Amino acid sequence: MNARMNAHMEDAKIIRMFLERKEEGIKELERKYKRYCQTIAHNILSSQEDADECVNDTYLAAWNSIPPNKPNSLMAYLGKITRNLALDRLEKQNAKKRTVEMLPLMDEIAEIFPTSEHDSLTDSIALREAINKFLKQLPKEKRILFMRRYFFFDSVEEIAKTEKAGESKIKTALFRIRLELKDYLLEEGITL
Amino acid sequence: MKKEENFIRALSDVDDTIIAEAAAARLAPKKNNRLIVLSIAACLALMVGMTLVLLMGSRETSVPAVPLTSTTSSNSIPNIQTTPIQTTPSKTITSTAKPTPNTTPITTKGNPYKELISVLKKAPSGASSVTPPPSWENYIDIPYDVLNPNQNKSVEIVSESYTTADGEKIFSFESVTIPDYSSFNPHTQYYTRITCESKGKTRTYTVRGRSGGSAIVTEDAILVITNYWFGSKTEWERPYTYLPTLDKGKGPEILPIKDIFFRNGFNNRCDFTTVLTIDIDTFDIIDIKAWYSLPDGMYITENNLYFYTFNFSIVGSSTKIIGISYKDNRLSPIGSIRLEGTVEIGYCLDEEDGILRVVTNKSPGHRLSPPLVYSPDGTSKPLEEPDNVLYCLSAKDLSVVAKVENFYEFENEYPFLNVGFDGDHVYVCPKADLVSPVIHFDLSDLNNITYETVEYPLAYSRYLKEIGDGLYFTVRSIDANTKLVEVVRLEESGFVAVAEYAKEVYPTGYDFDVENKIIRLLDWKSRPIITLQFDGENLKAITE
Repeated sequence: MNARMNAHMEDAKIIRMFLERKEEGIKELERKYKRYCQTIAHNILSSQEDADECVNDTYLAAWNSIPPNKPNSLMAYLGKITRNLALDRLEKQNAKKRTVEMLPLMDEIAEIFPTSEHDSLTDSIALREAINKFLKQLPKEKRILFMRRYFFFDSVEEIAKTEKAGESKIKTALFRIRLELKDYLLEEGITL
Repeated sequence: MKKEENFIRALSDVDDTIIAEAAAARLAPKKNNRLIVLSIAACLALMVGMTLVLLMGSRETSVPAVPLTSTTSSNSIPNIQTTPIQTTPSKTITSTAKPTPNTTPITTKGNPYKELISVLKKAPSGASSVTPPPSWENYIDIPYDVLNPNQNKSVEIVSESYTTADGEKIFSFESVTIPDYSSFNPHTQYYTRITCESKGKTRTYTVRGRSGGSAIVTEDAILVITNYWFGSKTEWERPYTYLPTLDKGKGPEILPIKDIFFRNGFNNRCDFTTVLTIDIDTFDIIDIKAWYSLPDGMYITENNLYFYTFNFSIVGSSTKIIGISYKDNRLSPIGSIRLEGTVEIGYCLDEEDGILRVVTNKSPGHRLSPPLVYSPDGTSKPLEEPDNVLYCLSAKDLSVVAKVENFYEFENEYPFLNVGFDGDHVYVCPKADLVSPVIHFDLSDLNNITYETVEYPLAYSRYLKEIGDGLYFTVRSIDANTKLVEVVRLEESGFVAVAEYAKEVYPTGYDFDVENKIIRLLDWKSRPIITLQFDGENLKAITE
């Protein structure tokens, strides 16, 4: 049985435990995804203590939402939960401030959306659909780069390390993807 | 910064496959087979990158190494209660306690739903992204405008309706879930609205908690049971978010403290179960009470409700049972008790003549990974020795009247429990096999419980496939991870194994080619994990 099949079986087992309300499922979840969730939370919060709390909240949120939810990808499901909880916590903690670590990322995102005298509010559903479509048509490597940077908030250094590429190459690639996204959103009439 | 924040939030709804793809890439660094050739270029790029970083003045911290040993914070997973369990299992015992006499005979065969009500209609369920009707507005207190300016208010509604046999009364249950998928806000709420209608009269009640279609009908009342799963945090300054409430039409009111039953000890879980009884004729509320417990299952008798909840802790598995009397439609606690082992299936409980019989499983066999204890040398063994336990509890206060354990010797296998009750007789089958043992208990004298073991061939075999010539394929688990595939022949003395093949494998299904004497063990997508063929003498793995 290969590793991927093992992973599916293990996720299915964990989900089944949740559906059957067996608390041992949380231990299994923690065993498998603790580091994964911690990394996401720490990328956003920069504090190990806050990240740990966030991860614990993730387990509870998963416990409380499965059922009724039955995620197809436990990894993606937990990633979303952790990310959102961490962002919520960041908002509460910092009000209008941002951590130093988040500033460059925000500056990058700001490049995607030009300022305009006539800002129009785009429905969030339309924005989400547009982002999904854009990502799906990207080549896999670019898509992974984009998601690692703007979904998982991985640092350029971390991305470069695992991609076995220079930081400059990563930065350039991200810059080009942002330009592509900007053009795509303009074509779709998406503004924020 | 609002545009950037909106964008970041919008990314949370990217397709799961895209997220999973990137997550996998983060965990699996690329292999670099041309390290020497690229190293010079990499160094140059790094130098350029570092220069750019210095010029831009940005700092990005790397993720600190996560300690390999896991630590658990105090505000973490649901409270797991531990109860001292004797570490040395006693030999087969019978208690000398006398059973508590119950003057009211109880006939118990499963759940005694009366034939008064039948399903009239079932409204479409699971409506999502629905703007809630005005009647629910008072219950939606999620601060969407603060956290999620673009989030649509949406609720999920599941409706069921029932009518009396004469068609004159209709009872509707509308369970509403108010989720917040974008941020998993701790204010996710569940409510059930119960509407009672008859000619010229309507009464509506709203209870916090979700009805799972659990309504019990007695001759003159309906019992409604709702469960409330709380969110990730308890905001103590907002009691309406964690206390049971009832709205009779003038707004939600928190239940009086006398009607709320809490667990012993401090914990940070606020899940609760509410039981409500409504007069079937007048639609008045007869009684309402709440228990801070979220049961894994319920067993209902003519006068009693039993909630049971499994628990796994460092000392072993256990089941907590809470007993509630609803005699005369009045709710009152009977008591609670924690038993060793888990009640894996609902028909492991039975109430007869004032005695609640319960059979539990320790280290149950269908678990792929039973709780383990690790030694410093890295080896592990199951936390609990596999066992079944038969309890006889008083239905008046759930005290233990009698207990029998260690009545079956497990050999490198795990219990898989089947239980049957017939008056004073209880039948326990601790494992599923070709020839399954069944232990027959005689409970007519609880001071002197006797039992005998009978073997029933083919009684609980789940996989037995005839392949001709008097031969059968069969599959069973010999431990938590290993399946044993056998070819057996049924002879006068019983089944005789002709060939066997053991493998650590986790099939979810099987496929047979009887003509060629082939068995395939399938995975969760029905793909063969391994294919075996019997060649007349041996079982061999083959490639098709």
